[in-house]
Amino acid sequence: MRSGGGLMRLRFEPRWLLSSPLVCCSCLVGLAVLAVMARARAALEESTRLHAALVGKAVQLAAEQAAAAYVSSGGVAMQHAFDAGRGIEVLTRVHANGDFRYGMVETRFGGVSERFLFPILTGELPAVFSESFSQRIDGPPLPASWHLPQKMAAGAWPEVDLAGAHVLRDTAASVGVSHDDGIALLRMRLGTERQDFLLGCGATVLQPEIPESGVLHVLGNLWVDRGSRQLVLQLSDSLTIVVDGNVYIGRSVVVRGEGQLTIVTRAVDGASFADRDGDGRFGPGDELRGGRAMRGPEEGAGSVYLGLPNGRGGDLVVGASVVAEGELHVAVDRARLGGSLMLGQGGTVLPGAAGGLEVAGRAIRDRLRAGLPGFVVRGQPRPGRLRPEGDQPLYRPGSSR
Amino acid sequence: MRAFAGVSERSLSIVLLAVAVACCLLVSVSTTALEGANDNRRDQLVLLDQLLADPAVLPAGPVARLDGLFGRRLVRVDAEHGPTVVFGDAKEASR
Repeated sequence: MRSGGGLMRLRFEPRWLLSSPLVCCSCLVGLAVLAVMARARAALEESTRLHAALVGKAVQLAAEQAAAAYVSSGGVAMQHAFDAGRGIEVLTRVHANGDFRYGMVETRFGGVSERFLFPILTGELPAVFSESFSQRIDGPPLPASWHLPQKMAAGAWPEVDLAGAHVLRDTAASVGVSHDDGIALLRMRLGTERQDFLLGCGATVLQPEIPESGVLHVLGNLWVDRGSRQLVLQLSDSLTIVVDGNVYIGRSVVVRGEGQLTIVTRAVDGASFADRDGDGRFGPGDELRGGRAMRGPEEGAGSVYLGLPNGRGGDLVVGASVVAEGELHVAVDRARLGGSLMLGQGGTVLPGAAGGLEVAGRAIRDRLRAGLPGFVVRGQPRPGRLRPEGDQPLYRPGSSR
Repeated sequence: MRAFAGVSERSLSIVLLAVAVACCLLVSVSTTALEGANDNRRDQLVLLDQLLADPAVLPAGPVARLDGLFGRRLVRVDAEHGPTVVFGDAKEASR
């Protein structure tokens, strides 16, 4: 458009909006609709997401119920249909491996299939496993700087089950543990009287082959030698080491992987004592525990040393649970247990160490449905905790465990 | 003619505005109800999560706070293998 020999420029004037209410109104309505629809859309999306989560929970509930029915029926009740209402019906099918130690629930809903794996437990763990730090009720007082433990009756002490345990004796070497004649003499002036075994000899990372039963029975003392670097244990399954002797831990032990490490000491061939002078052997000034006369090897029995006798202080972290029938000795300035601690006797801080003890207390939250190898269980068989397949390996390929 | 056009445009604007406001209100009220239902369901799912992780957090019996989550009421029972959550009666859930 030309005007006066030039182009007439059409420029937007704000007053147009005021002079035409329709334009103004349309703009306002458009903005309002946009805002309302955006909010509605967000709410609808959230509703869809929550419904998906709801279906997931229904599937999980159905799988739990199916697993429980299967185990309590002794493997008879294999197929179920769970109607959760609101159009959610979950079909389940359960089966177990040959020796009835692991089961799998397959669920089906809306054409989608999911699988859950679970261990079949023979019973429940003793109640004391719910506590992070406990001591037998007749045990002597503990150092003042330690937290107060939960007192347990003598009958509540967990009973060890060695059926199928892999036994380590004399010169045998297995699952990362080897016989060692020199370690005791290297770390204690007069050595020990029992056989000595070394865990993680010279290694910083160890991936032990875990026995079928999950239990390693050491007939002698077990050592983790002093070292500048921590020992990392990669556990694909839980491992319980039952030691008929003492345990000496000279450096930090970190546990990685799906399994958990439990160290149990038993005083089967000797007596436990409070090693007041810190030399690792019974002598004048040491206090005998649970007996009137010293018997058995001079290094005592059933004791655990966090830090070695004649130690040098420092910090120590042990990512394991400890069930010590004898005395717990702390030969470092600060010891930290990643798992739970059960004491049959007392605790002693060795000379030259501050002896702080922290129990992080990874106690077993649901002992009724948790499996831990090497302990006698009670009650009826039950399914362990269900895990979605692919989430994490429940058992090693090729293993019937 | 020009005045008539102005009046009709104004009337149309008012009608359009009124209809739009009514629609927006309707959608908004429905959205608020949906958001409330979502909040309630989210809280129920959190509780169900806690209950599945540790069924002992609640006493045995019907879990009234989870009513309406499914078409069937959820019940916390003490089974032989410990506390667990199972689907209960369908009628009770709709109460």
